[in-house]
Amino acid sequence: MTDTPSSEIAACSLVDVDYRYGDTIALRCVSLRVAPGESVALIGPSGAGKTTLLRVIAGLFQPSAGAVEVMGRSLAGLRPGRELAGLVGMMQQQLDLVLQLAVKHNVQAGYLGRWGTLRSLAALAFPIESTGARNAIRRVGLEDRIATRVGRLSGGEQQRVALARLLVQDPDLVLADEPVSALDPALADDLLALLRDLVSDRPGERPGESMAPRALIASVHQPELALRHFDRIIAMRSGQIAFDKPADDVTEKDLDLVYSLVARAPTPEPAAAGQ
Amino acid sequence: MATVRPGEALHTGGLGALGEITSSAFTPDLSWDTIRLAAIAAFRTLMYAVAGMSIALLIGVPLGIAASGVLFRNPLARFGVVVAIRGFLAVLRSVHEIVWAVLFVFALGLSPVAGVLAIGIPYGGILGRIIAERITDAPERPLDALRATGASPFQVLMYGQLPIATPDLVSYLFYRLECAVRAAAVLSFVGLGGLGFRITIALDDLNYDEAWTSIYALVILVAGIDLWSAQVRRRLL
Repeated sequence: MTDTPSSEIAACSLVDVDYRYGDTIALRCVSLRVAPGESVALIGPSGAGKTTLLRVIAGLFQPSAGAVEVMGRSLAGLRPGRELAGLVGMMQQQLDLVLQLAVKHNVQAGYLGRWGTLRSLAALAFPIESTGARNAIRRVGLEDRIATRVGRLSGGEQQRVALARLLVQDPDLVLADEPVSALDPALADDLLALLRDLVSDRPGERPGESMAPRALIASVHQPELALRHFDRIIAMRSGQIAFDKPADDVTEKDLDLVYSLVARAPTPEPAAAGQ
Repeated sequence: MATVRPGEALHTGGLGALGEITSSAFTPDLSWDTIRLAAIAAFRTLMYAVAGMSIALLIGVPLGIAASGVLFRNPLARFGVVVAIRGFLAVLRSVHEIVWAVLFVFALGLSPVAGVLAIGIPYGGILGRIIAERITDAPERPLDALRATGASPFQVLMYGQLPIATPDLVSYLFYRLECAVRAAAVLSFVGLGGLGFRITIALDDLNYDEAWTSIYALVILVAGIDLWSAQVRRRLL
């Protein structure tokens, strides 16, 4: 990955990021740069550091060394809260929804960073629906379940609710940690297609308004799904980037190398292989 | 002071009375007048219970939320408030409703207000504690997800902890309403009117049939609350 012109702000950029806890080195010298509008799949065996990497990018983990920037801003100075929520959002697992609340309330929760106390109370108490939330629910295809409690939905539908909440939160960078691991293959395919389409399609709040395109980074367990739905593949192995290339250029051999059980000589391709 | 030997403390006609009371359980007084009076008394008892529960909620909901500590970001402030409010709630509920009733009858005379406060105050202490516990027991993952959207602690409470706790709390509230009905009946023995008062009068007159009418009214009241609770829970779960 060579330096891109500095005129364009990266959706996310990591420079020589290490993450350790105790004696374990979960991430070692990870550098990457994701442009607005890009969709990136993180692949690699379990324990390769995919989740850790996503959590570092989300600002949930502080890197032990190196720098993380989202939309040109360092996360180190940002407290978790509304400012961070506008920059980066993590697509939640179904476990992270409030099962006792209706679909619309779970989706409206994406507004909480921007809404005041009274507004958020009123939205719970009265059957008012913001158009943004209704649009998001329609886009994930749950319009007829808008008032259903999330606990009564199937696993696939719950993932769609999580996606709708993220659309409402509308961060510049969308992260997703194994968004489809709990779904059967057909549903997983559908959801990834939806995730990619919705993330890249970002209408402004008002007609005619144009917003910076969102970037997407998702960890995906099955490489076939990653290759089918994402522009770029970053493979992780033992906390390092094994390769980083356009999905079209990924070969069978690349995948074998990443997923082979026998540890080969640690020859992570230099980051320059990315472009 | 005379010492009481075991034999003397027994009511000599006790066995006979017990038989009479038992047999009249099968022949409650079903005359229109008695039923009407029992129904009015049951309604009054229910109103005491509902009013008492309302006061308990007014005390328990805000104090329970405060005692959960979730609204405080500063750990020192949280610790101070949690300890103080939990202590206060403990004081409220460690005194039995009958003792509160005696205190309030002293202060206010034999007024329904005394009975309602006697139920509302200790029950408020109990509800506060249960609400605080249910709030702090909410699973962390949905709450973390809400915080990630930029929600404030109060918004997390409204969109997270409270809805998560609600089904359990509603079941518990109905159970407490049942308890409040029983307590209201007992308190009316001290002269506050209601079913307990009807039972006392009937027993004083050795009118066991009539006493049973009121006891059955109490049973119907409690069973009715149980049915209502089941209905509400079915809609919530």
